[in-house]
Amino acid sequence: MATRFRQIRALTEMLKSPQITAVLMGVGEQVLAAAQTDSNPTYVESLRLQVFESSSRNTVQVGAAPIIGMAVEAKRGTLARALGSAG
Amino acid sequence: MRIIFPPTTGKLCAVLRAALAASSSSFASGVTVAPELPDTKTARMVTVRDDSGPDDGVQTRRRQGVNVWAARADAELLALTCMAIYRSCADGEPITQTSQFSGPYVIPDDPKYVVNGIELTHVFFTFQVSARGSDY
Repeated sequence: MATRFRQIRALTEMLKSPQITAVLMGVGEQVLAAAQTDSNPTYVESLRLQVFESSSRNTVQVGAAPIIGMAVEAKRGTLARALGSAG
Repeated sequence: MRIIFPPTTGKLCAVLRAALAASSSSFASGVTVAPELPDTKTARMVTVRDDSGPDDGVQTRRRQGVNVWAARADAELLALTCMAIYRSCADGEPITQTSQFSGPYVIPDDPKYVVNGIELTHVFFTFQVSARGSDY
């Protein structure tokens, strides 16, 4: 049990490490750059890349403003395609 | 070995058409299912779009965007039915798995489509489909 706890703690430390965050930021920047080629300037202006730090991991999120983001995603799938192009 | 990956949109449209035609629910009748909206709009429409995705040399994993239009009372039920159909459509020919469903969300259309005097409500959902490649 103690070993398992230490292993989980080590994993958590890795998932919160600057190195993993840097890898995720690299992917996030690729997704953001691809999404910024969308034809709607209001949508492009609302795009944000954000880093969230929780107790168990750091996550990187690319998102747009709620209403216009949903409308553009339904019409063209811009973020889904951007994520696909980033591999 | 050279691998070719199959198109998934046509299969997903065919699966949905057949399942909706077999359904006894009133909101599932007369639904137009296609990759793109028809020139002449109908009271119930579904479009299935391939938004691309990576492959690992054996399987491709592609995100699909599904738009649903129907009268306000039917739109969400029709979208949820489409999601249920897609959750169980993997038959290995070529779709091996469907996963990561997200939605349905109501999308505010401006202007709204109007068919037979009824404003259509627009609902959207996404999911990931895995499909097996074959020797080319």
